[in-house]
Amino acid sequence: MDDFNYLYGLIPTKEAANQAFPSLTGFDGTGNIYTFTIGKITAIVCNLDSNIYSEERMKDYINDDMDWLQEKAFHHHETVMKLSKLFTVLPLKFCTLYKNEASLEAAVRSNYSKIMDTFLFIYGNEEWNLKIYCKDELLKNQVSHSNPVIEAKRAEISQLPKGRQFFEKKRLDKLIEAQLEEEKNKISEQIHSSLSGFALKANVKENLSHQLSGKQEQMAWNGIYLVSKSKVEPFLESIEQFEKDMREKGWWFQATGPWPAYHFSSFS
Amino acid sequence: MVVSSNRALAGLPFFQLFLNGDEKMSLKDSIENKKIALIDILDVILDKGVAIKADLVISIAGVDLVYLDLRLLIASVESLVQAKQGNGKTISSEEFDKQRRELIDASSQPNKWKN
Repeated sequence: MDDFNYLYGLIPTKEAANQAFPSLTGFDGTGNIYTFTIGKITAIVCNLDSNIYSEERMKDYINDDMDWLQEKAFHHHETVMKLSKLFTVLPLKFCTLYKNEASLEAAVRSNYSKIMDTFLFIYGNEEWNLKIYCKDELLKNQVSHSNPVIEAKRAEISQLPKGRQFFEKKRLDKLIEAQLEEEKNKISEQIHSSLSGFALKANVKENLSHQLSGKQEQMAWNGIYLVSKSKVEPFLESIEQFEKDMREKGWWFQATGPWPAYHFSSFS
Repeated sequence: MVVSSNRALAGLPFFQLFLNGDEKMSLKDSIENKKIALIDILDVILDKGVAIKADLVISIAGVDLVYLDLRLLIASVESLVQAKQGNGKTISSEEFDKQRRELIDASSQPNKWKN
């Protein structure tokens, strides 16, 4: 059986020809990463023993071995980051494997013009990720005491007999929760829309749960932005300004980047 | 094409910007080179629309994952986290009671269970 080809990313052949390719260690920690030219597109790959890196084995690693996942995710990330400092990289997802070079070439050829367009689109731009967190309690308090619907409901409840008050208060709590979510979304959307003004393209991803983010605050927004290098500074300044204005209200912002353009390279 | 010099010179794998806190530094200064959390990397490197689907043999543990990717892997990360914390899927009696009370409240039925 052939070796599998682990594909890190695609770069324009023109750029690959302009400089020596760095010496990088492959996914298995022993082999080298090398280039494979397909016309104007150069694939950056390493070989993986198909017996060792079989689908079954990979599943086992993913399900049972957090250390393996961490090590390999960092390896993928660091490799693509290094490449993106040297080339215009169309990054591939973690663990993108092809059966052999022929299947990789066929895949690239069938997406040839899309890949070339993507190079043009991402050239000179950076991907940035912004996660917005919110201390629910502060905003909840604010929502709870400034929303006329909630105020009216509260006044109505106070007139009820004690027994009914208990259940109605529970219902009111649920209403407040719903209003809170709505308010968080509304505020986050406004920020996103404002930041999108600096970006060539922006998207919204799903929020990560508490447990995954490891943060005490709830994630209110998970946005990604493709920003021209010349606009990165004003983009970050704008985030900083939002942070300053909103910190006291329980909001905080985590910007990470620059990332390779993972979210803006889809050509399927 | 030419790669801009500042990125080529950066030479550092990544930087992360935390904007909370009271530091009065310039923005550039506040961009620190920090080790980034695994979850932030996974959030990015897994959550990409699959670029090339044809002929792809495996992508993180199987063909299905090529399409399901993030959710599935995140789910498995989540279960690993839970397993590591040793709380798995079991819930405490306190949590059970809380859920029961919520159900009773939600159905607005009188509580037939005596505490």
